[in-house]
Amino acid sequence: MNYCIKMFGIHRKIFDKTTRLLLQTFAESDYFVQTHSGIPENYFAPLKLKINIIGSQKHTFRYILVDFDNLLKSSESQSDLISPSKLNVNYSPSGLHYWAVSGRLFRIIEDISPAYISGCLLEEKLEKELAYFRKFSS
Amino acid sequence: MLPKNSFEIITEFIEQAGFSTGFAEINFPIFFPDYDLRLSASEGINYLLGAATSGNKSIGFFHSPVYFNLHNFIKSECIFITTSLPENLCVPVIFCKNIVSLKNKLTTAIRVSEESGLPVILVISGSVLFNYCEIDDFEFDNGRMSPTIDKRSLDKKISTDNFLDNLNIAEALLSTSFDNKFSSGDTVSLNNEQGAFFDYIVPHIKSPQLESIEKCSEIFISENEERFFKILCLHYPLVFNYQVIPNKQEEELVPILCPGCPFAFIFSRLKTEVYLVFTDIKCPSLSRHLNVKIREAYFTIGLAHNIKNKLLFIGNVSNFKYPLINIDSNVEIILLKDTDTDREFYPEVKLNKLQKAGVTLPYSCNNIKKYGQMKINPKKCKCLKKNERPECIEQSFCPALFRSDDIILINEDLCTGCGLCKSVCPYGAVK
Repeated sequence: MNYCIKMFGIHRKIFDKTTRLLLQTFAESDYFVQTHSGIPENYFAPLKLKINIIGSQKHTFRYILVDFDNLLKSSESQSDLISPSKLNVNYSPSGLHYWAVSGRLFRIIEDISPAYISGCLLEEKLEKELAYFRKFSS
Repeated sequence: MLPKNSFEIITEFIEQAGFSTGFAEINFPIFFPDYDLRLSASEGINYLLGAATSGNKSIGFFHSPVYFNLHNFIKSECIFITTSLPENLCVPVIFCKNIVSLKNKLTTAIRVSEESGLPVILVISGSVLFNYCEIDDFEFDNGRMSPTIDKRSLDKKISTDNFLDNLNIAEALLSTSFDNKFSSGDTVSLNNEQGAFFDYIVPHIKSPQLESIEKCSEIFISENEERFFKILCLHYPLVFNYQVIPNKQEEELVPILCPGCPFAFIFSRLKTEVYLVFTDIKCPSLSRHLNVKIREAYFTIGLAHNIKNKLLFIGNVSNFKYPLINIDSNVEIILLKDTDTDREFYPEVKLNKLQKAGVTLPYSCNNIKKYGQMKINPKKCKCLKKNERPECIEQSFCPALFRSDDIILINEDLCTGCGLCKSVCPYGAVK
């Protein structure tokens, strides 16, 4: 299966962290990964990253919108949308909700394991983040 | 190995290649604190050219197109990185469409500049910044020279023959590094994620890649890059058939400005609807969300002659020169203090005392100060409970404000205490 994931987020540090861990997870699962980014309009405008993860030779994609901060005003109706409001997760200034949103991706994308991200969070003793991630990924 | 982000790749390149002089245009999307010199783009270009002429490795970051007249050959490498396609061709230009090729393009740029004695422009697509890639470390042989200059070398002007010889050196190097060609039906676009783009162009010399495009029966180009192709056709000259692909509609996101944005504050305080508002601060969010036109101060002042419309110019103090011409009464000016300076064209006002133009605001986009910390009284915060639009978020576009269940919360790390949310809250919930 091929997936086209579009991610949006304004917490730059945590967006960077979750993105790297996700990219590593996809690569370890033998998906071919392509990334396309966009330039944000200002220093605080949302970051945008499109990740194509290709696991089959078919030219069909499943589209997923990952809206980390409830930023989307409109979206394509055929896409799966993951956002804090869809998951009924409260927005948190420390970015805890990013881990819930990231976790939900593991229920949608086939053949990827949450073990790498869980391991990293465990190693860094980020217990709250790990709890959020596990709750939504399993 | 975790992938590196664009910022890490670029900073590693700067460090490993040993650049000693740098400049970043104000509001370049990635912030380089050491390169924030508060110069305009053209001033920054001249600063870097001067440094490279005396033998300093120089690098600059721009969001404007880069163009200059070269008076002297440079003694050390000089790279101009920009996110805009060129509007004139003056030196070799290398293009980087994907982050995967960024390392190769950066190292080629430095080699071409070193061997040709010319500055090199590296145009990067929107997909290169804020992206990720697994790459190995850069390796450079860092023999450094001591910068020096004498009067004779400055007097020696570049002759046309010498300049063409150096362009030929650049072309020879680049054509051996990149041999991609285009075929009929290809999409040739820098910013469209489909297709490919030129690896490089050298002024006055038609590369094999440019020649290949002439042989195509048809190619596809992006609507917002058509102007660049027209410039190429005039410059070389070049004849080819193309079809324009319309710009893609992107997902619509909530508008966000910087916390404490002085423009948002001015717009909430003054009746800006009676003005045509201009600024020389090149922030695309201002034109998109606040209908501010981006123009130089003197364009605005010239525009005002013999017309009745009221014009408001908002710009940085450091970029504002004392007006040599009379300013018509229909032009009003607000200056933003972007740097500590004694120069005072207009009296400085406290933020909450702003009532009219003809003043200097105590801060600017690149110099936002923290005035304090706004707090929200949850009992008084009622708009979401009543299913009303949250005025504080909608009028301030502030990233420090966010919805949580049925109240608004403030991200303390981002709040500057500017008080804009307080002034627009209909329930007095912010203090």
